[in-house]
Amino acid sequence: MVKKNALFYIASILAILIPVPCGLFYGLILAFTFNVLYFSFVPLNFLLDKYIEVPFKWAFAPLYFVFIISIEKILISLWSASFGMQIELILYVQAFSFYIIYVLNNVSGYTLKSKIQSQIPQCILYSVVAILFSLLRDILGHMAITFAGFSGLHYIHLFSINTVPLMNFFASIPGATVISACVLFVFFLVEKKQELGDE
Amino acid sequence: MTDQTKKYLFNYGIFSGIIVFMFAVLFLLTIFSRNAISNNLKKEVSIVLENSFPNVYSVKDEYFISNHFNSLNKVYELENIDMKKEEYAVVVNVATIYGQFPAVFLYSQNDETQFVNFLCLDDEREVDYFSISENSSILHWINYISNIFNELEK
Repeated sequence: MVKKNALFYIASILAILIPVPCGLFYGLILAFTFNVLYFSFVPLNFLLDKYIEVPFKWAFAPLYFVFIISIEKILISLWSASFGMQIELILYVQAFSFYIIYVLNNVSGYTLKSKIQSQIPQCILYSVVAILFSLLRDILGHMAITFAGFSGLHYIHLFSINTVPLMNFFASIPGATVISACVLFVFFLVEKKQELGDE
Repeated sequence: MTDQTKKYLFNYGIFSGIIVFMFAVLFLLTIFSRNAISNNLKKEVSIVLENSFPNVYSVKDEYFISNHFNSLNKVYELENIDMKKEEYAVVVNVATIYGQFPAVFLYSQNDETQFVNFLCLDDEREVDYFSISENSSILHWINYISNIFNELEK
């Protein structure tokens, strides 16, 4: 199932990453948020299914996502208010695309352990794609690696920004679209090769 | 009270309780963190203003315009050394081709709005980001901020 849905997951994370500003730290935040949502929502939903019977249980998921994202936004703003202001909208967009992924994906297993285990490969895939994509975009577009400092973002410059002209195109949204198309193409080729190998 | 009613009450009670708890936590966190977040942003605005206009401005309290404007953006009163006119620092999220970036604008009472700088960016990138957005989103915000303050002054 994981293999079958791999392209779908990669496309969904890339769609979220395109409007995000260029920087490794943004990818780290998105990967962290995704994992927090998954590993907190799966046990909570399991308990709700087991002990509570209400017809509008589906309404709990979006409310819970708003709750988690709002808390995360407050914590980020306490660290750096401008960064919190910048990333707020993106976090909410991610939460609702996560909701669609969760609804479309059948969480398999009857016990809590098996439900969580069935989701681990997708979480790893999501995190790896988000981090690698952000790192690649950061190096190509900014010629730097963006980390969190004490009170804001901190840039580690690998080369001067003028080393290769016009590379800042990759820091832009059209540039991110080009990188995401390349990443999807590479995954498509890998999947095709695996299918040929299986036959 | 029948068993069925008791079961319904239990289920609906627990479900509503969880939702009320979540929103209570969120409400309290928002209330208690509001001042700290505002002060954090105030410090960042002070740094940006100090880099662009050394020893000219000191950032005072948050200024309230309207619920709609202040929920998305922030406005701070400024104290100018020459004290001749009222000035404000406005922090808004500017949509650029590189994504969304908070930026500081300076509004003076005689209808002059100017862009100061982006927050969350280092010096090397600021020039690129500014030059590509100067005649589009930055110009839009300059006009928008002027209009908002003009309406307030009427």
